[in-house]
Amino acid sequence: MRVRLSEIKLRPTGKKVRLDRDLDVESLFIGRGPDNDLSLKGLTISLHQATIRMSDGRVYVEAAPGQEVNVNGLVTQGERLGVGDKLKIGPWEIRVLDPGANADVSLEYEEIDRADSERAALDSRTKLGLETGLFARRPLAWAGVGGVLFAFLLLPLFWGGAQTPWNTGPVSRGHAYVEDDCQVCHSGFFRPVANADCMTCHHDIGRHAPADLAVADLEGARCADCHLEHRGREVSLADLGSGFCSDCHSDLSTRVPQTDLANASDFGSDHPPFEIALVTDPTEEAVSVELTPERVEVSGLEFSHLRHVGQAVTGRGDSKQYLQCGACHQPDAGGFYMKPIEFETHCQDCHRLDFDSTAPADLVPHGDPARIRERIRGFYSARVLNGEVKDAAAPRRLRLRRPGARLDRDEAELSRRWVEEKLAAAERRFFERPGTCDVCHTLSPGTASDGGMGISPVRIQEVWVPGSVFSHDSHAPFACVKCHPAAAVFDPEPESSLTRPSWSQPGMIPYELVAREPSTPVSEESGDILIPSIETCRECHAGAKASGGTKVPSPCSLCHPFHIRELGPMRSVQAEATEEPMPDSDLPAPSAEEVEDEPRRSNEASIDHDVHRNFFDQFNSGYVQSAL
Amino acid sequence: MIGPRTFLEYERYRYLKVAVGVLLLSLVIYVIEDPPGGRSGSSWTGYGLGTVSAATIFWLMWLGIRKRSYASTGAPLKGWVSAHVYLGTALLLLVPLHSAFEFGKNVHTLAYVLMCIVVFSGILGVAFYALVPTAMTRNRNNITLDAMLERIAEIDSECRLAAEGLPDYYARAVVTSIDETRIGGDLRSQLSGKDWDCGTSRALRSLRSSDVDLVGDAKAQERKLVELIARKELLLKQIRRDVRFKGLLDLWLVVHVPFAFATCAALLVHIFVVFWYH
Repeated sequence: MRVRLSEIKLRPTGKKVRLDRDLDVESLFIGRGPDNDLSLKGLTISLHQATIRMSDGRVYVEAAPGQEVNVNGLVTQGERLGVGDKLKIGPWEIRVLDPGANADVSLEYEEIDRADSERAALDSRTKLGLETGLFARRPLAWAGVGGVLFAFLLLPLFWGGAQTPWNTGPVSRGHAYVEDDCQVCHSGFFRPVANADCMTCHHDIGRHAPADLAVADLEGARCADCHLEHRGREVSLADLGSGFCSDCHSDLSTRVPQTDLANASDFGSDHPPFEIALVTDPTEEAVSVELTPERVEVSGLEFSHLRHVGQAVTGRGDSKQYLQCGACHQPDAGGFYMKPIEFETHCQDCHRLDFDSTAPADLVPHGDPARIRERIRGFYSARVLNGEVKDAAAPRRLRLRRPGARLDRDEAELSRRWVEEKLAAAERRFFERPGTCDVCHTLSPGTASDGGMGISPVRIQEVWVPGSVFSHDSHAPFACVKCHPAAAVFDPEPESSLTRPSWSQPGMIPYELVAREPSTPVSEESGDILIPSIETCRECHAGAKASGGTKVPSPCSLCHPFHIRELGPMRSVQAEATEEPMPDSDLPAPSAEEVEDEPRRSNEASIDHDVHRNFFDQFNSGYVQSAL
Repeated sequence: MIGPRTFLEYERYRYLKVAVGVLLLSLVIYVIEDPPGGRSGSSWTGYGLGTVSAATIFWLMWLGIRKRSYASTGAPLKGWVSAHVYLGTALLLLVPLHSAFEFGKNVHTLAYVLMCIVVFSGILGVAFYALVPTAMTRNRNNITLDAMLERIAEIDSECRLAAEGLPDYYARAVVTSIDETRIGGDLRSQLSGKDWDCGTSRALRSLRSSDVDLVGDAKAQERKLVELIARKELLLKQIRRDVRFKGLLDLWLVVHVPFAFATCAALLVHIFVVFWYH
């Protein structure tokens, strides 16, 4: 078999050259080994890869045992070859050409998958550097910036639902219900929360100082300056730290020279004596005076605690019981102060105002003597009209009258005279006989609204220390006498077997029966003042900074609210200071009188709204205000 | 520790002293001030510390520009890096003082968290610069990476020659060793410094376990081939260690820079939001 082999070689210059050689062999061996007729370089080629041989004028290719050849792209063990066929062995391509006359087979071979240099190949398999693709600094930085701006700025700007991450922290419990509704408080863009925003709800929050005092530190102050929100669900907005009050009040006299409040910085060590609202003339408002042992109240009423407490009386239902504090003094619903004493409730069981022995159940109303006279006239006139005159001293015609018959002129005159006689008798009973009205009241002839016998004015002070808030409830474990020693309840019959109500009995004002000794203070006079002094409080209460001792650390806010509703709503201060139109400005402002009428107050401290809500509710109900 | 010392000890720790001074001053102001309602980011101290912190962050970002301006005649880059490292680290405490240690699940704390990632990646970077270059130099043993790669290429062509007359089994091993040996690759491969499926190692194993009996010339060729591939394997280990070191020196920056930009974005959102809703 004559074979023409042509190698196509690539010169370094880039030119291709053709090298021909002719062989005459039985079969043409192809492989990597040097012993082959056609030895091809390339480690992927077998030492002996394939054989080309001729048979009956036809050319065949055969793979060596265990090898394969690629003919025209198809892998095969053997194949007949024709002109134009292409063999692929390793990086080499062997093309079958027209052999012409001088050869039986003509093959052209060329290294087509020519590997570049080993280094270039190695470089192609080498990947260095961390920053590949998106994992490069610049794309990552853009992604970070874009992601943050989109998720936390753009999205929340156009969709309120995505604003949660803007929230700097949970709002306090009281505001939690509007936490997701930022605009409730943050009403303006790039504007701090205004007082108007707060006062949309807190419209009647009280001022701290009277408007005419013009305290510079308070004028124009923002609610949010002191009440910091977004600090946690359980953080109190009113907890402003121990120094908050004393910052100003420790030298208030220099800061606010026009005030008549004394300086105070600590309850235990630097607090003025209590000031009480004292009635010195029942026709005048109470005056604010320092509480001293010499003070005497002139309420227009005669009353002796000594003659009442400890008395064994027969109460309703004929059960014998002691008159103790709780018989007259009952705490109000909020547990702060005592309900007002009422004649009908507290006195009338013993001090009955009946006027006719034939009708012991008929009582005159306690109060204005003119109304008493009206009631008595009405009572006897009704007897005449109803034909019920049984009085032996009454004129016979009146006694024999039929009920419902018209009164003729004589009868009317008789009746009028008789009624006036009865009235005069009753008046004598009430006003002239000792032991009725004059037990408690001073009679004042001619001062009643009908010109008759009148009663001198009486003024009962209900809240004695209006500058503070005091909760009797908080002190419930202690007997009254602990703080009001002159109100001791003496055991009148120490040896008797009377059932003594326990002071821990539910609903019972606690008291102790004490054995009377000469040194025991007693309140015998109506002018006695039983309000304890600051020393009494200091037996248990120390200043706010006290710790480790046995006394109760007592910050200013324990007794003193910051916002004092009676001084008027705070917004008036704000409106003047910020000149902003306030919402709800149509709410009635307190009249000047109301403000003037306020007793002097010790204005200090923040207020724990929860604790004092009841107190404010009382203000709303008008109860405390009416008492002031 | 040669690299970082040049900037850590710059001017006798000048910027360490500055950073500690700033921190102490902030701490004293923070402790002394007792605003109504308690300490917070919205007290005057809070605003002050916030302004200082934000200004510091934007100044730290400036290093990225300063380090590229080779014509700068201002303070030497060493000084800049020194201040960058110390003031950046100081932010870890300065920012919580600004917020009065209030954190939450919000964009404000996100800004701080991102900043912490930046700072800690920076600290990691300093640590790498302190430890890696020494190990890297020792590993390189006065040869550059390029020279090592060139040597691999040489070994590859020597292997081809050596395997030319050897049976297919050997040829296949050489092809495996050449074609299936990769250097570097993804993050994990680069940082691990290993290739558990390295073609060269596989080739070496198969050559060593070969049960083909060769004689004469072929025997010598075989021994030469095994020796070449063993040498290549050692060289590859060296290269991969080098790649790992280089990766470590780059890795922190891949975190540091993008997170720094993200921090700035979060910081801008933080400032926008607190002044909108304040």
